[in-house]
Amino acid sequence: MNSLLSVFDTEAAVKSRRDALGTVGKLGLGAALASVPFLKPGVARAQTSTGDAGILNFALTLEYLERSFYRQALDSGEIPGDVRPLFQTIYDDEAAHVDFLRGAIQDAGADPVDYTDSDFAFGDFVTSYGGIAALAQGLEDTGVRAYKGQATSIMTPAFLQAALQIHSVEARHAAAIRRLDVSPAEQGWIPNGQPGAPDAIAPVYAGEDNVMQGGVNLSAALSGYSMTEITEAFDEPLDMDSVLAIAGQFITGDEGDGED
Amino acid sequence: MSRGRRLDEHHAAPLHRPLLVPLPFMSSTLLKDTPAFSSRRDFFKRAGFGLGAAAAAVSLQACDSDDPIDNGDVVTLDFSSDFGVLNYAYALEQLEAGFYATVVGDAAFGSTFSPDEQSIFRDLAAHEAIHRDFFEAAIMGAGGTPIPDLTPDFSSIDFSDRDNVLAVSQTFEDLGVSAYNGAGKYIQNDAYLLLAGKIVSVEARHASVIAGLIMDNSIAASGQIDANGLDRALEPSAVLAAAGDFIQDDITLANVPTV
Repeated sequence: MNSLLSVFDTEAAVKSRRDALGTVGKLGLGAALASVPFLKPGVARAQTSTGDAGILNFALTLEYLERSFYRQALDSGEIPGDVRPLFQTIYDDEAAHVDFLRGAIQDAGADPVDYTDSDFAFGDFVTSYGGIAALAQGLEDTGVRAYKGQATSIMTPAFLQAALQIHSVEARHAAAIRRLDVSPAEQGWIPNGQPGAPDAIAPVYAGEDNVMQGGVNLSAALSGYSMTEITEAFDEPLDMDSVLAIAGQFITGDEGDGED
Repeated sequence: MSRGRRLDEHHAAPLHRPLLVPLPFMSSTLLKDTPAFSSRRDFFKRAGFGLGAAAAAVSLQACDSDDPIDNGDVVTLDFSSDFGVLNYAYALEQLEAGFYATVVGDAAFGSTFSPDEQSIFRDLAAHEAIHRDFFEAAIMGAGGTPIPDLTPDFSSIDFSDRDNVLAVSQTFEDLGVSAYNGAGKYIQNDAYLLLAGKIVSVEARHASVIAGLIMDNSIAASGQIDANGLDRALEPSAVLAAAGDFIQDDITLANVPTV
């Protein structure tokens, strides 16, 4: 865990989340969130789609991002052969999600957003196996939180079910990535607020240490369990703006410009 | 009424003690009228499913004397209110918690599984017991009636056989994921839908880790994820048919909407 931290924290101590995002910027991963509010044209378009189609376009944007990341990771030559089948499986799933969501959005009578691989840049995260595993973890755990955060806003039952079906696949991906020997995580599930997360992906876990479920502090109400176990047992949602702030660090091109 | 033996009898702590703490947020949210803005809510309103009949949602009937084969309770899950769906989840969490409590409580646990695997199973036992206790408390806190403690039937499982335990674990975890994925659309109250979402992804994490223990680089049993990259979603009837092999009680469904 410490060795990975040194991979991403090229400066000395990172004192805050804002500083952590600044570190991402120093690694050449695009403008830091702290200084440039995220408002990419393509994502803005996704947000202006109304209702379920807007949510699905938000999801589609994340799936493009993940698909591009895994394609670039697989092309990097950095992934060891013994775990390459896992990354290939995950890439295939993300690519299938892109195709599925495009179809669903068209079924809803809306236009799906268009991104290409060249619209995404992952900097040093795709130049080493450690970096790949760390960002894979960050993106998958973000994806889980993103779908969870939108589920209650989806009004069409069929779309809700499909979103849940993707949501649980992202959680499967996250757990498998987290179990890799090189992963900064130690388990498939998220303990507390994911202590020890590399600074660059620490913002992904903001609020995961929540123990208030249904209005009750479970750490006080349930006896016989540790705080760690209680927080592991519930994954937390993340709102759209927070997800886009994380994802936006890696979106360097414009949606819908037809360039690749 | 016959109460089945505690599913978690191997777990020493008083894990199943009913919560004395009310759940103000959940109950107030449940009772509050929700604006009819959404098509999903509209569906339930059109179908005649209000939030008011919640307290009567679960009917329990003891029938041990009539049921010499199963020797268990008859439990009806009435999906006309969210309490039916919550009790459905509660039933599955009871099954999972009972299973993992038996796994980690087996005399051969330490010799059957590696230290890494033992750590995983202890985590799973804790998570599922937390889910179970949470649902019981949530249902009571919102004014509903939890189903009774179910009576498991694990007689087909060899708890000292690593491969057998892993295979059953995969069955339960994939079934749980499929059940939550299929039931989300039946949940009327957004607070409960979100809570189900918070839990199902943890079940999916479990399922993935178990799959990886069974086969390197695997995240799911064959066929669980389809060509669109979608995890399986199962209707409650299919889930209960599969789970029924491991539960002595009869669980029946009522008023499952056509969505």
